[in-house]
Amino acid sequence: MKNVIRLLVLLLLPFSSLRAQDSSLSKWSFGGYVKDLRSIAISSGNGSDMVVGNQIHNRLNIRFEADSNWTFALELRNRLFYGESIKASPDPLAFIDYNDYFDLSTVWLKKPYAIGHSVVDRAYIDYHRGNFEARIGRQRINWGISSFWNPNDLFNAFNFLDWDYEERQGSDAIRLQYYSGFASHVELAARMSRSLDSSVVAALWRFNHWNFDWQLLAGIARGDMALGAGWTGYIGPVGLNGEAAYFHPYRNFPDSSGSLSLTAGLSYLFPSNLYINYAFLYSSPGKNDFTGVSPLRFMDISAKKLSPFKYNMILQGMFPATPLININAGLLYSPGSNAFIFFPGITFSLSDNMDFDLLGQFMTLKLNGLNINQEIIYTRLKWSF
Amino acid sequence: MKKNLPLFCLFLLASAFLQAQDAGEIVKKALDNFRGKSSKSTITMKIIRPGWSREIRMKAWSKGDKYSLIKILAPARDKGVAYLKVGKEIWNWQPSIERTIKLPPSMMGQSWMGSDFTNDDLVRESSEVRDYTHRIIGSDTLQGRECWKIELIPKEDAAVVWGKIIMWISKKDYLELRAEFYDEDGTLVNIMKASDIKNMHGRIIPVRLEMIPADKPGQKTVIVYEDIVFDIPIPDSFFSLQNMKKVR
Repeated sequence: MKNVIRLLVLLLLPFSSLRAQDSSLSKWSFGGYVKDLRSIAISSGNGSDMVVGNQIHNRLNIRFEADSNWTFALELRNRLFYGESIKASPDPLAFIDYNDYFDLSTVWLKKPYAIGHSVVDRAYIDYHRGNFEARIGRQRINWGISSFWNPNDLFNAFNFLDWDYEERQGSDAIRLQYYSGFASHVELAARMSRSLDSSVVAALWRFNHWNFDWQLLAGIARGDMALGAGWTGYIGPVGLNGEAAYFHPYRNFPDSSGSLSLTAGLSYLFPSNLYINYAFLYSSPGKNDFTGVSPLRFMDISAKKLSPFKYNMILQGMFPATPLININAGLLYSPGSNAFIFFPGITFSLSDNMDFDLLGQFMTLKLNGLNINQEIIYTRLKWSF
Repeated sequence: MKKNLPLFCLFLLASAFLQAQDAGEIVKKALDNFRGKSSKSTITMKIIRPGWSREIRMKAWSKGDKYSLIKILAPARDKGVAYLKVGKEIWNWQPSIERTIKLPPSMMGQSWMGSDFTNDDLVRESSEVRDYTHRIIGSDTLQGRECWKIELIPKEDAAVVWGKIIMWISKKDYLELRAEFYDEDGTLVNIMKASDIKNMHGRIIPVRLEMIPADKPGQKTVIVYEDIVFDIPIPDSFFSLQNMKKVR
């Protein structure tokens, strides 16, 4: 695998020079970013602990549009982790390494104080003709509508606290789409898997009616039958969106019980450009079993289990103070576990291609008489190219 | 004379009416001149503030009032981001997360990407014809061109943000070379200046537009049309969620 990645990088790097032509219709396009992410984590419960983490992160996005029908895409991330957080963790690779059906990742440096990791998270061929589109390979299939929780995102549910990886991991999958109108389409997608119980095969129908976008989906997902629906639209100035999905194990169907993920939200854009977003989530498998051992950012979630807590609500505000400075702050509250997560952030645009973020994730909760606190502060410098 | 007074009044009314129609026609002609039935353009927008500036490059397609599609070319961070407007509905495509996001219709009246233009300014809805009464209030010469000065006052029931607009439109070729936007209290809010008149694929238009907030010194937004072609055939189906992702 190591050699394959090396070969790919060597093969593709020369194309970066093609970008200089900057013809918007060049067949090749090349982009990405380099980020320097630093974190200070303070956790308390059994004694106070402070851990500093460092990460240098590079992403490369390469596309080749052979003609009006065929597109080839390859995207990879190269990350170098170093510092205390690597030294302190018993198994740092658990948070770093991931794959799908195919192993497209490699660890190129493994020292007690540093880890180097590369992974291809997109590698697909796309064919489209008229209203039809087919895509095969590692790809992101994003069926989510809502801002925080996505019960309809069967393939790759998003943890909104994992703010540094919005692209998400890809799924090794086949996806067929047919567009039946300007805002409607049907699609069928299947994620490759070694067994039926770990695969996802589902169909989605999205359509536009009464100025709302709607979607219905059905399929099997990791051992469950899944049925879902989602909506998004505006009534006057108020935005309404939501998603629901019901999961039921298809083995022992009569003897097992199903689970429900339901989220609904409201949003409002003030004339001052202040944007307010409220949402709640009911996650029936939530058992308030969060142990606080690992940061919430790395929490493993799925469309079926989007939160460790059963009842969740979030209020978030975003405000562009100037065209260069964006301020946002969110508060999550879960009544069952008396959990609060406060996540304020500020983004500075330093130049056309350089951004700086400062943000925090502060959590406090009380479970079985035990107080758990997590405080993490991040800084991120991002250069896009 | 007394006998003729009603007739005279009627004549006055009629001429006022004719003139109002003329002014409306002129505004319509000027806006149509800049919009066409459809258009395809490459635009650079520069947001200028005291101490800094930012630049956005984009490609835009439009058809009538109903349809528009914008694809961001630069900066690198936003490359590939797209906006689609069909009627009152607006969608946004975020390629990094492969998601289509439905946006609030109210954002049309708000700042476009932090600039001094609103989304409505860019789409140039026919509102300036429909929702206002028009009157020629004088003549002026701008950039060597003789212009009509036309005053636009919103109709009583019109839902518009301005209390008054004054436009300078050239007499020879119907170019809107300047506009002043006033709030309901009659205070000048924005000045729009158009310059750099060029022949773009057979049509004479100003390719440089500046929007200058009246009360913020050192602040403005400059839009330059690198290329614009009007009245090309674009099918309605071009303005779709599918094409928003694909179009280049």
